[in-house]
Amino acid sequence: MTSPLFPGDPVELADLLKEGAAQGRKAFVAGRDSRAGFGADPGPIDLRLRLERMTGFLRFSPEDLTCSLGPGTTLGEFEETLSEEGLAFAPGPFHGCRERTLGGLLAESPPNPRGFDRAHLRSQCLGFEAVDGRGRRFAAGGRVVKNVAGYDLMKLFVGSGGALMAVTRLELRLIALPPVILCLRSDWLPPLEAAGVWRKLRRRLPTPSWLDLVLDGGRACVELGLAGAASHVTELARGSGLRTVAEGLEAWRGGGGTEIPAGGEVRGRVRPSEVGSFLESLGGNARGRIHYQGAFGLEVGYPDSLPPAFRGPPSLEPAAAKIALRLKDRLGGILAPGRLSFRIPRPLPERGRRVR
Amino acid sequence: MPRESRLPVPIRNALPEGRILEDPATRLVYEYDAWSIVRNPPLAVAFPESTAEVRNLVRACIESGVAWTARGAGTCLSGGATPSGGTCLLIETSRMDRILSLDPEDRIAVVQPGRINLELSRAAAPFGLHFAPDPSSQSASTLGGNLAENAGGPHCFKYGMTTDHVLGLTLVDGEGEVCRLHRDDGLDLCGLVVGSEGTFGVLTECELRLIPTPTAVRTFLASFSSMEAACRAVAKIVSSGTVPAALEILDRLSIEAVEASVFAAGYPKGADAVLLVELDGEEDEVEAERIPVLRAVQSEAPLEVEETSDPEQRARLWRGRKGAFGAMGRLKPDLFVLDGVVPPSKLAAVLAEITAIGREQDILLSNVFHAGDGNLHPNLSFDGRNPGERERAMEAGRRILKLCVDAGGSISGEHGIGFEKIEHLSYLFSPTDLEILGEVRRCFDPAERCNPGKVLPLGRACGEGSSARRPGILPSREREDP
Repeated sequence: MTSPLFPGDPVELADLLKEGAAQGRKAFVAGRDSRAGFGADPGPIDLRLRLERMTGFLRFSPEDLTCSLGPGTTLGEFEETLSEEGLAFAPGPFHGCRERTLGGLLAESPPNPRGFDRAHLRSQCLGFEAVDGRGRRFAAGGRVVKNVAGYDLMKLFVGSGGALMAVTRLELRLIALPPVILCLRSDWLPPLEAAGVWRKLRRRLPTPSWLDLVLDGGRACVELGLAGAASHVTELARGSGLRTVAEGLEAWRGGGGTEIPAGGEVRGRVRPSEVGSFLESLGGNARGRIHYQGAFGLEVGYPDSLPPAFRGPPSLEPAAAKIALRLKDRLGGILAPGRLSFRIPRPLPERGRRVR
Repeated sequence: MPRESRLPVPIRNALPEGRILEDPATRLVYEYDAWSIVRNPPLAVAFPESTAEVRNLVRACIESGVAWTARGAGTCLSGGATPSGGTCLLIETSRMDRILSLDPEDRIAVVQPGRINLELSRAAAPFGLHFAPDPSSQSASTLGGNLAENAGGPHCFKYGMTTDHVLGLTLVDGEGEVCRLHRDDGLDLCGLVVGSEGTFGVLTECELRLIPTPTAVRTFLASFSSMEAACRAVAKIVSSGTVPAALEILDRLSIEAVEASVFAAGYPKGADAVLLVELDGEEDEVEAERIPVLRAVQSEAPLEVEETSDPEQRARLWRGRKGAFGAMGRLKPDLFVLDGVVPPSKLAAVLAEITAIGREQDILLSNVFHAGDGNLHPNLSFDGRNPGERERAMEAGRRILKLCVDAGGSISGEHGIGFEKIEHLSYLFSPTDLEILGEVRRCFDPAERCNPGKVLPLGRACGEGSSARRPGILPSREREDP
């Protein structure tokens, strides 16, 4: 593995990428390399760049519920500062991710228990400054919570796995920390029984903070997050039939839960009405979480047990794949050559069935 | 005597007979949308009914070297649905208005783009669900248009913009290929398409998220003797951690216009500002949240506070807000609605400067806006028949948008760039930023035939020089005599 370089500012990063592009090198940009082994193989890399020197708050406007951050800021540092101000980052809880960088977290966009509503990671990024795979510095979006000027490149960045651009400044949305937060849990149950409890609560609770079906091989439980005014949260908790395992900030950050992360290599979305048959197909071989609207992140013992749609990288139809490949070519340039990975379900004559 | 068709044969043959109209009256009807400053009669108006028909039309346009603009109900306030030029085909989606599926348990609806926003919520109502984005035009605007513009509305303060409620879509791209995009694809191409104002292709199906309809709703109307007090009350509500469904402000001139119109809602006429706050959720949730809201409002010495959960009274209070733009017609015959955004903490200061700009330009200026997220709607009322008034209104608009950007905000919160704000993009973006946006666009539409001249300035962003020689591309500001 090549030794990493640590650019200290966007200009240094842009110069390195521009030079790399001119020399035909392949580059990989990471935060602190905490997820180096995750995701599709980035391919042979000549230039490893780490953004951990680009860290900290560059702007903080608690009154407007926004801030600007260096991409190397860790989730833990970020959340500590926010809680001191009575604020919070809406997505999460991201179990065991406090050492991860915000830039990396957004680039990966891991499954997010609170992400079924406006708390999806892609809704938090209001704007950014970035460097593309040719070393061009550019910006998109802005600093305000509502903005439709220009194309929404923030959506393109979140979940791109670092294959299209490297962000050098993030503009993020914040929320006021809810006055009362509870994490509740059921007992461990057979998976189908737990799924029944999950679906019943899903119908009853229109706006939980999160509602996960937690799978642990041949057993499962339901984890419920509630946040809001005290009387309302207490009332909902009482009616849920679950027991409280954590409160306040500990609950918000995923403490007191099962420690089974909302991550895993197998990701997708299953319709809530089809969770039962999905669990049957897994046959007790999965560990992970299915969230309120059916998005999941699982570690699966026998990947062949998965329904075909969930095996391997996401599938893109040929016309969509054509667009994704163009974006990779024009924006991504030398960045993470193998990171943008998807299957094309129908033959695409000039490129074959699988593109890496 | 019928005129000879001007349409290229491939386009004429792309749809069954009678579904492409090119008579002068039809072309005149479709020459502009709700932003009436630029008018371009289209080459013809086509009425497809399915994805396959849209694909046929787009391929026929490509073969004929003709650009196209898709249009829903034409309620766009930035010229996004105005034909891009006299040789541009208008693809009208009103015949594509079916709900293809509605799944109450999974809370998902699949609809065609011509479906009217409010009609989807009506169809979902028996299941206790609704579609959250509620632009003021929701009784007329189509879902395809809402997606194309990433529409907002009063309730997006709590529920998010249209993009937060889109799970997938089908698009006929600039090369006539059918793209099915889903939010779970890894790379969020679907999210990129939402808000692209029809410049990536024509939407033909939308998979949308429905949300449970709140069981309790409470609406407050507080009037104040100054705009500053109303803005301070908003800041206090937001910082309390309460997330109202809506936080809307109308200024004195707007109140007077509304109260003199059919939309009269009983707003206190002597007030300098009224603040509408709406809480929704479950009964005990709303009950708990009303306390910090009332505390914030009372701390700013309101003139009056009205609070109601009665549906008829709530409808009355909202009637004034939703009808405000219509009521502006009482002030002057022409209206130019701006859509700048500022950080909420700068609302009061920016509004004072906006008032000063209106005074300097001698333009009647009123404000109706989404206060919670700092999305201003300065309304410039003018009479275009009076020499110089239109120009003064445009200049006031330019200065106001520049002011919003200088305050750390943006030139558009929900109306889009369209034709209207294209010259103001440089306040926000560098030439490299625009170059990148142009490259992204050409990944979907290499020849730039989808709604050209919108979102990005032609030529400058593309690095291809002037497009004036290309047919059907440049907006013609000269009215063609139909």
